[in-house]
Amino acid sequence: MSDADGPTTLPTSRKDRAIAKIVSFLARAVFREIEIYIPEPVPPGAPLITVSNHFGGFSDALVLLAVLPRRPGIVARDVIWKILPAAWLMNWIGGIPVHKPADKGSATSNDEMFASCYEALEENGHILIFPEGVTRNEPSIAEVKTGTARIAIGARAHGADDVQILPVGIHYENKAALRSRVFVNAARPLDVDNAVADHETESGIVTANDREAVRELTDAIDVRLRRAAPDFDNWGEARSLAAAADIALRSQLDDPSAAVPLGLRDRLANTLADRPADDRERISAAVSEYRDDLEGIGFTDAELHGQLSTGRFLRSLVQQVVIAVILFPFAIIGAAINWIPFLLVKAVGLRRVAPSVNATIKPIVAFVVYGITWGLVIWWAISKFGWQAGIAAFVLLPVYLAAVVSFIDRFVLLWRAFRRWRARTGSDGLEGHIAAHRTAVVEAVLAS
Amino acid sequence: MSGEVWLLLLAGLPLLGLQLWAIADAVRRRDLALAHQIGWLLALAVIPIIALGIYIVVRPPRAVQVSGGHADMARAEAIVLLAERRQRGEIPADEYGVEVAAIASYD
Repeated sequence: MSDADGPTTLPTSRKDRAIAKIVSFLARAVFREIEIYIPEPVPPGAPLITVSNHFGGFSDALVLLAVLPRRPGIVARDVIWKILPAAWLMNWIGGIPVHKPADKGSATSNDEMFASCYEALEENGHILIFPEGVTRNEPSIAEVKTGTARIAIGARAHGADDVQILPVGIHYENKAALRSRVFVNAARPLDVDNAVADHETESGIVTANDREAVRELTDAIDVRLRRAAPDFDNWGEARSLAAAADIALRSQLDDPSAAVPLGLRDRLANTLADRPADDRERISAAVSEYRDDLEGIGFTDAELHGQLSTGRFLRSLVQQVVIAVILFPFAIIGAAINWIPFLLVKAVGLRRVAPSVNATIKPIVAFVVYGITWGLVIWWAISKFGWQAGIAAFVLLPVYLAAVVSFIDRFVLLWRAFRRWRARTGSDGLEGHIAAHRTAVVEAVLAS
Repeated sequence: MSGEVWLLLLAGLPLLGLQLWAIADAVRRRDLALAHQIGWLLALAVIPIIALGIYIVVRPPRAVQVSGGHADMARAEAIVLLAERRQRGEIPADEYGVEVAAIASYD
């Protein structure tokens, strides 16, 4: 993974920098790995509307704010502004309230929202819209509403030049889990000028009242969003095709012990979801058979095909133990400071609510409880040792938390290495039988 | 060990590490003008803790990981790109089959 040339550009204003900093820190604390794929760059400086699937509630906004090239104004339901801390947060990051008829007590017209979006786009700004209008718990895209197309065409009619729409799909490895992986898959940007050119007449520029143009642009957004975002019939199919893509891609790696990047896996799984039903059923059947084999021997495909020799396992053991010993004293301090907020966030995660609700609540609770705890520690350091100690505490608190996370990661890595070393001896005699079923998965994926 | 030694190890050592990281980072950064780089180095040397705190706050966040471009995953990436081209209707199914067969390993 390259870490050098990411799409995050330098934020321009002091406020942009502060928001980028906080969002980046939060996103890196919540997710173990954030990956982005942009096949075609958006023209720099062009007015931009990013549209995204909405599987993770607040987490979606957090992830997109962390990866998008320019800070967007987020178009969000106006009921959010009724909760005071959320209203402050939305006003600070430049949220644009949108009225939904289903929300009782909200505004009755969206004229102000349209005006704000036009204004932002006329100034070559960037807005973020979740065009389904709802948070989803299913691994598919709901009906894409016409609002995005109306905003894009309306802004163009108001004088915004070269408006671009960038559909992006957010793929969570596990949206309710802390420290899982997330992948942002961008589609090719849609040039609104090209998309509505056929509707232009001699009498004037196409407007947001042209239903045919709005419908066509909405359909184009729908197609690109479905290609970029997870769009499966059900969770069973989503898991099955993701597993098939993972197995097929691992078979093509020069080093089979390397992990298949989430991005590659989910991009291939997305294309499989578009294949005819017969192909998908054949893949799912092959995966099911291979999974039965794996359950029988108690190993995963990654363990079985990323086997470690005794020498490599011992090297990994020594390496992880040395790092863990160095981290230990700092991790102890980190654990002592952070155990209360950690348990509070964990307790919130235990509530029996939809995963998308959890994905919304957990980062907000984490932001608040860690913020209060760290604030108290900094205040204590200042009052006891002076303001220089306060600055030192401010600098060191994230380091101590990182030490805890990294210390725990050592054991996870060690356990994985142990399982891969065990697979080397534990799978003897089953190779031929399992290999045949695995080849069937690879062939089903590549031939579909 | 006395309390001061512990404090030096548990707070001083990571602060020193961060200080060295900030110096190396300021030198390495390509988005800073030479005058700003020199300014940061002077500040980090003269008022270490305060300058370190400010540097961490104002430094732009690290870029996120960008997918693709890995030499050891060339075949896997080529297959994904082909599948996406077919999905967009840019190549017909039979051409896709031929190209995948040429890339893929079935060992």
